[in-house]
Amino acid sequence: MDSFKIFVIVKVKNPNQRTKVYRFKSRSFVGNFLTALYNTFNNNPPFSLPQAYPSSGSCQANTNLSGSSANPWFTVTAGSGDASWGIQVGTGTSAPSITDTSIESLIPNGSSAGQLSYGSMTLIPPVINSSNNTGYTQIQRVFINQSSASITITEVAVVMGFGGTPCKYLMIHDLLPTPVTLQPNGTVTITYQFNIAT
Amino acid sequence: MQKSSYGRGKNDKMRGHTLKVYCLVEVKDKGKVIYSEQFESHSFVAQWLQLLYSMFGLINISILGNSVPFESPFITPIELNAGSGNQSYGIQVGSGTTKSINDTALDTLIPNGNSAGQLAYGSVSITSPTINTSTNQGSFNVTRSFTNNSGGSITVSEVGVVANVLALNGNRYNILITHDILSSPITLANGQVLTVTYIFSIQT
Repeated sequence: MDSFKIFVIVKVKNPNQRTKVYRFKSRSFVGNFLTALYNTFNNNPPFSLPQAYPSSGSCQANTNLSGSSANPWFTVTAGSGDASWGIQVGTGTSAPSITDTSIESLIPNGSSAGQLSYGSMTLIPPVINSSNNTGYTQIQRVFINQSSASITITEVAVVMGFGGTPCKYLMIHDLLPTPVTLQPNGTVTITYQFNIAT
Repeated sequence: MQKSSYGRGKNDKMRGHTLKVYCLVEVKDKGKVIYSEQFESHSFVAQWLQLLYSMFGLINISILGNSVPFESPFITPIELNAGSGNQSYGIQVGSGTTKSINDTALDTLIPNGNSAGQLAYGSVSITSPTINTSTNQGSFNVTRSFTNNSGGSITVSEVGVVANVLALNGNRYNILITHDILSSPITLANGQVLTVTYIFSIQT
């Protein structure tokens, strides 16, 4: 039993087909997560963290903030149509590496061929089971294929806002054990479930 | 609802792990290690999930262990670097023997000090992450030492990590995020030093 487990739940609904649900264990926190956690624990001043968004320039993440301004911190609240952060999907097939800073081949938001319509991120509050000392919280996103062609998803990722900058950072990157093909008007819901067991 | 077998079974044995936390406890007597044990911490408590949820969505939460509910802890949310003598956060030790997912504090905290039943809390140190690109592994350590200057023996049976959180209202809260019971209690004689290290590890 890991100290902290993440499951990825993939729910696929294609027209005229039964809904399929797949679940696998995410093992792919990348180095950015460890660096962010370390600097957070240590209350460090601004530090460099390679960003996923924007694709050029540099950002300084900052864990040492004061005052009452609202600063994002491991946030995933991307809105509808915003593919730059939150849960992302892609067509890359390379095994995730600890040094990854972005998804390999992002499927962009849109309704043309090779694009998916990104829904807004949804968060499920923690569910705590006191009788067996387990708990989880979920983040999820719905993707709709509004194009006239099929699209195959092979990788998923979580890109987070962090530390008071406009930049977004890759924190989790997973390959799907089996690619998921979305037909026109098909939808896929990706859920990351964060689990503990005390 | 249909469930696929892929991603479970053989594929579930893929390399890597999500996030593992190990706890290393060592006892030194006159500078020499006389006891050492490492185990995997299985005891993130509910408040850890609440912190994550709150941060993920900039959502107000009710912090279980604090009297003021519904705060947004998204500024320096999980600081652990307590200084010497500060028992209020960082790594804590205690003499309790029970734990639960709803814990908001150690069962029985051993306070900082040099009197009977007390331990002198050192400062918390946090090592920089080491990232091994050839194995895709990374980790960093959070360490604290506790010295028995009490003149008598003291038994430690539980350890925990408490985060110091600065909320949107400018107040700080101490929030328990992990709680572990030692498989065997450790009795520290006068003059002995207990060092507790939490190792945060990922493998991509």
